[in-house]
Amino acid sequence: MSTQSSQTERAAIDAARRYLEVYGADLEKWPQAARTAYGDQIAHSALSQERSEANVLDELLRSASAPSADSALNTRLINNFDISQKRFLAKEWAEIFDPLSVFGRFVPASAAAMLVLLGGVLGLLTSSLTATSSQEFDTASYVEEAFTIAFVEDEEALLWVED
Amino acid sequence: MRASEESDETLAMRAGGGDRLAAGVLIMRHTDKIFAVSFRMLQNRAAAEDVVQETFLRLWRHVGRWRPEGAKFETWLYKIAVNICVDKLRRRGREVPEDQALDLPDGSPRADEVLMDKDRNMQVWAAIALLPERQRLAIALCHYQELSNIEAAEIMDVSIEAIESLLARGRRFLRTKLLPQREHLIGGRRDEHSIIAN
Repeated sequence: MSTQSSQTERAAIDAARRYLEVYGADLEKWPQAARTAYGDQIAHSALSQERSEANVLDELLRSASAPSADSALNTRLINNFDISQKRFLAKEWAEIFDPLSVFGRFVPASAAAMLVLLGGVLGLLTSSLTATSSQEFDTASYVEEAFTIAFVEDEEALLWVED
Repeated sequence: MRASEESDETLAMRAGGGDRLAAGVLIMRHTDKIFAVSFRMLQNRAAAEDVVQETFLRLWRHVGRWRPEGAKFETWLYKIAVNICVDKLRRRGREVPEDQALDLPDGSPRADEVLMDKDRNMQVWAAIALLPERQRLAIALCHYQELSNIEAAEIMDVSIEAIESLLARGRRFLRTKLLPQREHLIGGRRDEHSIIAN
């Protein structure tokens, strides 16, 4: 029984040692669950050296204070907000009045795609026109041939009458 | 309800809609925190102010798309600032601490105390500057900004175990650097504060 309780105590001391090493001696900086479970252990004599060193380090770290921000910084930040709002509004209006702007940086690629599409449509139209005109050509040559035969036949008839 | 009493999340939504007052309250509430963590990372006042400005510019650009059901507003803001700091550190390498970093708060009564404090601060800052970037960030967030390990883990995109490991290694390194000089560093103030509480 006592062996078991001493093992439990040793485990708790080890856990407290680990938390001392991670978060320091200020219990406020420990996670809530660790503080509740092992907070009492840091007073244990087995941890006196770790506690002492953690205290010194905490104190040294506390002393390295950061300077305050320049008071003019807040004014600059508000001005930046105003500027960003104007830019945002200008962008929104530009999108309303310039539908192409929705493509943004893809404008060149979109334009190229549109040109390819236009080329395709023109190609299709041209090929159908060519087909129509070649049919028309066939008809015209047939008519011309027929007239030539008729003309030759007329001429032969004429020659025959003369004879 | 007055704007100064509203939650960050409500103010962020209003600022996203162009509300200047809401933006002003957010600025007043968070500038010092963002500046402090940036200063601890970069150890340079001008660079830290740049980070604050860039953080808020990014905030205004994206706040319209931010939804309160995601990360806590403050965590999100820290995350933006930390990413900018890390970018800056990687671009420029380590910065040497500036003198103004060591300006002590008013109220130090004696010149020798001021000098001793300055010397001690200088050595602590120098030791912090030697820490690897992620260990420095973990200490800045957990020790100085007093964020929980859960929040720090979220900001740094790591697990809680990883944060604890970074903190332990960072503190161990600082202990190795600073504790051999403890008599020199804290000797003059031991009587007043009795910092070793055995």
